[in-house]
Amino acid sequence: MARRASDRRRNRRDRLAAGIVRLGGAGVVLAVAFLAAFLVREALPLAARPEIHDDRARVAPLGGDGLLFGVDPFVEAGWRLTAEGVLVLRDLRDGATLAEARPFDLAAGERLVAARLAPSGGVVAAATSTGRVALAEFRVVPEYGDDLARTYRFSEAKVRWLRDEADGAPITRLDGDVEDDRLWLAYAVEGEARVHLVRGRLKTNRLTGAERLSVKDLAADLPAPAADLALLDHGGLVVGLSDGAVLGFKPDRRFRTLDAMPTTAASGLEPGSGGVLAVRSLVGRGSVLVVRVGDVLEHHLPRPREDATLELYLAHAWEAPVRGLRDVAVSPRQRVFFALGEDELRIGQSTAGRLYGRSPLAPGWRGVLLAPREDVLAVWQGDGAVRLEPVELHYPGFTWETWFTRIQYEGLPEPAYVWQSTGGTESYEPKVSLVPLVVGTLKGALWALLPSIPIALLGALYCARFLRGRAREAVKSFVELLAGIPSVVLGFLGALYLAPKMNDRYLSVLLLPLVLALAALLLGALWARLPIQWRRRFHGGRAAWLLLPLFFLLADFLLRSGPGLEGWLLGEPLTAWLRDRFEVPFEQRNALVVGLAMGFAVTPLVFTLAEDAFRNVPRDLSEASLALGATEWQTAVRVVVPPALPGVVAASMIGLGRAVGETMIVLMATGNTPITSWNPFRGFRTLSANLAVELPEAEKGAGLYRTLFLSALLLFAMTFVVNLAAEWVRVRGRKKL
Amino acid sequence: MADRPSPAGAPPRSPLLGGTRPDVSGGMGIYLTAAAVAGLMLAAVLFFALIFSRGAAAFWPKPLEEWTLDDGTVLLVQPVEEYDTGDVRARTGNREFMPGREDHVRIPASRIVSRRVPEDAVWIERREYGPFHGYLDEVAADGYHVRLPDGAPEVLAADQVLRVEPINRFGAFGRLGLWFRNVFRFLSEEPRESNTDGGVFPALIGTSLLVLLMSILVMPFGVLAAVYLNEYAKDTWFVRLVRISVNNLAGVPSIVFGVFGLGFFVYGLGDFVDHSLLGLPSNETRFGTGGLLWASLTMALLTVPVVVVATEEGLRAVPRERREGALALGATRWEALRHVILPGAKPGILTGLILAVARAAGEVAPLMLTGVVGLAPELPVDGEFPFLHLEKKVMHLGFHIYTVGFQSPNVEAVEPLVYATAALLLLLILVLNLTAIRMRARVRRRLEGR
Repeated sequence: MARRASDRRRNRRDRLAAGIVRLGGAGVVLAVAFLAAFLVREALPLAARPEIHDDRARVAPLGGDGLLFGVDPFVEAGWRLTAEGVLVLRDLRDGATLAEARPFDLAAGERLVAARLAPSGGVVAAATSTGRVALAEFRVVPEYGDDLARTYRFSEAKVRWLRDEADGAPITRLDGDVEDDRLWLAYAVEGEARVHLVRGRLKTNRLTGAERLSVKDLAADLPAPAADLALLDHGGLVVGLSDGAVLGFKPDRRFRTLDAMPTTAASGLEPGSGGVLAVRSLVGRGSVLVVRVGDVLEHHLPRPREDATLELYLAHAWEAPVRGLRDVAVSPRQRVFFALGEDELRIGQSTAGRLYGRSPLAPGWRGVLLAPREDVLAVWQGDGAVRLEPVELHYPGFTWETWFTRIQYEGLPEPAYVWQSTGGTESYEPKVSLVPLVVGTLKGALWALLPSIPIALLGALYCARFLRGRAREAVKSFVELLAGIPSVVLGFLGALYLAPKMNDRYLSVLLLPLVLALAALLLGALWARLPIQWRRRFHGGRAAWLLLPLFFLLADFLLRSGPGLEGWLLGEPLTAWLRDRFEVPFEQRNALVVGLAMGFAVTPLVFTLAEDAFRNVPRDLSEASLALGATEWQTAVRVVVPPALPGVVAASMIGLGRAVGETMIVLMATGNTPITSWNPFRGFRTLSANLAVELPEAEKGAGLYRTLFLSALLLFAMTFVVNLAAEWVRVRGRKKL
Repeated sequence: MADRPSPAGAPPRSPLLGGTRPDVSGGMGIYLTAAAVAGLMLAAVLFFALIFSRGAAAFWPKPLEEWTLDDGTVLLVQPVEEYDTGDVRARTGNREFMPGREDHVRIPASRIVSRRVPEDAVWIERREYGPFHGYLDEVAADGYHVRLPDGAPEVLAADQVLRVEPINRFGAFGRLGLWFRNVFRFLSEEPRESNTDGGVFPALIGTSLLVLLMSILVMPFGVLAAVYLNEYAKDTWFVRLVRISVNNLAGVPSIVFGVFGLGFFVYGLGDFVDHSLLGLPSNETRFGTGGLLWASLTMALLTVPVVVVATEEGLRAVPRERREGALALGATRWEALRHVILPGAKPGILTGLILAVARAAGEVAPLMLTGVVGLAPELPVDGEFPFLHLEKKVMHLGFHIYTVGFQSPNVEAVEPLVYATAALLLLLILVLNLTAIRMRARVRRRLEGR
């Protein structure tokens, strides 16, 4: 009885142990699957399209009409600017009027006839019926009561008159903004075929704190009256005419003349012919959207030409984005816009040149605006109420076009692959092309494999075929030891020792392998002609020991005389010569340095695996070959290499995988500049180094963060495929044997 | 490359067999392959020589030379390097007294009018501003009364002075003693002056803790997986999947593990622990930023394949007869595993552990995302409950090399320190790997002798 109970316990334990062990096996699969799945999960939201939740919209009273409206970041208060020049602030939760302000002290009978809100919000340009124009800066600021309830008021408005002539000029088209201590205003007088650019400069007296505004007005003639206009940054402006022309202007450096920009278009695009209805700048004022009659929406941007002047470039055009296209609204934070039709709207993104899904819009709307936090779309309806529609933009600026195609970014001379994820200003246009990183990754791997694969494979063959007994074990162990060298040490040595040392002896470094190989071949040929007794004494297995001191002397001589050699042959260092003769740019931390350092990391790995492959060839084969009278070398090359080939290929591929994923060496031994160039004398940035540089700084959950996860997934996929292929090659080769 | 094969029936007369025609291409071939091995060995030897010689030289007390320059400036320097251009670089010390506040000069050698080695010069290690080179007059209540190289008197506050070494009086043994003292200080002291001076003690502690924690996490998992593969599994599609997974896990770039660790452990689990388990307010993070635990977990994941491969090798080395003998005597599989197979596989398992430790000690990329920092304000172990603080950020030798070498304002001053740290790390890893390789060789001998 007792015995059976103990047997049962033993069996139970056995089954339990088996279960746990199986779980451990499954755990590895789960770990890999989970790792991949997690990367996918983090990157997947990038594929989400912007959504407007029309069904969750609420309507809040704003009370009456006006020229402009706006909301606070929490969308709890809304303001409107009336024609009488009154700013009215209303609580959007209960409709209570919170404040009224009259920032533009208007003369009796003077009214506002036009006003425009800058894309980033906070600055209003307003023109009066007498022809005066002012820029007003104000914000809606929260206040906390005793019960911590939030209420709102206006901050004190700063109003500056940039056109203070009450000459009655009817101004209805205008745009203004503030750039540090400069105020910009562009306007056109109704019926006049001219456009004006006003620059105001603020000087603050340090002692009294008094502000002095100096204003200068430039004008340029137009072929026809302006239909609408918008400011660009640094005083540029774009004017749309009723006859369909879209013109760019830029003041000269000394602000004496207003010069027209030539216009160009992306290949396959032509500017539309319909009359212009509206011109609006996107946030950052680096590009504009133009609305034409006939439901055409265009994206124009100024880009520098070779002579440093600007041209106005048509980057994208959309036909009939919505029914009855009237206007566009822009996001205050990113290059997202809303094409507004009679009764529908559509979200778009200018960098990628994408339009997303449609959403209904109440007919007769007065204005549309995206709240500062980009979470609510506010539609000012004809009845004076605002309809607040929750918005989820997701990541409209991160699409496969931005990752993998050439993009015409604002301010760059041509469409290009650029990775520059963050910039100095909040309204920076993120540039997230993965192409430079992928090119950098492949370039680094290529230059690492170039020296290391031949050395590793030849060395492995030597080790497996010509070295005997303890010498072979010693070499193998030594190489295995090399495989364990931490990459951070190699990277640091590459950057702080190799790079400066190689600077003036590239010729020698490049010649060195050739010289050494030649010396070895020469010695080998001599050896083969030695009488047999001598050859036995210095048999093939001793060749490496013979060569070692010779190589040391040769390398020492060649590297020492490097600078002198270059001076004697070229008159200057090789790098300078290449730059002067062929305009090859040079950076000290470049692909060759990385190639050497990373090659040193990859070689032992490939060496070890390839040696195993050579050694796994059945001994019967090689012994039969030798017995039949083939030489050692013939046996090695014709009998041992062919069956080992799959294993050798697999070893090289695993080396490739290692080189592709290596981080610290490239991080330290290159300048990490994300350029798309195969020039070995320049640096690069790899996917892995990019992750190390940017991920710690990236905001969790933001587009950049997810793009970095995508690039990690890409890296994972690259190595996964390479490793899988290596495995496949190896297994197939083994089956053949 | 090789000779054309002779027609059948007439085998080539091999020179090895005493033939008459020398096999020139064969000799060239053998020597070319030998060249690859020789080149690799040469590079490796030079690499080790460079790192270890410079690392060791960082602690070697060089005599203080008095240089009088052509403009009358008097310096007490330790020469560092001579350049092809005829310039010399030397460490001057006395950073706060030097023009430009730099403690290195690089000048043409021709500017030096006279050199001598003053017997009474002292080298003073200080808490701030790096070393002081000069002469010590007396130690008084208000501090150390010293003279600068040019004779100007100064007083160094007593709490600034760590030690005074009259380097130039030392003989060879005195220097060697000082060298050992310097090494000991390097190992046992905290870094000073934002890592540009002092030792690497916290980095050593951080590395050890990280590796220890990682071992505890990875060993059961890795050994279980290996036991499954080698003892329990039959050749099914699932086993092949496990094998492919192990191979791929070994091939995944380490930075990808770091990305996963940051996203899943730090931001995912860390956030969960902070706000759901500990109930911290939403603006406070404890586990929600990188820390020791997350870094160790990431490294554990990364080293699974290392442990699996080595353990499997160990398991294979256990003779089949012992396994079957145990089962024949009526042991269950678990009992056979527990009492016969695992003890037999111990060398393999230990090899795996050592290799994993070596890998984790040398890895940097995933750590910099998951909780290793350049300068941690405090150690993760202290006298306060719970004594080991898993959420704290730690320092790490490998990352120390990166930060000190690449984020210091004064690269020249820290270069010896970086070489010293690199030599230490390399030594550590070489010893670990050497041990593992020797153990593995033993396992393999058993495997082959079976």
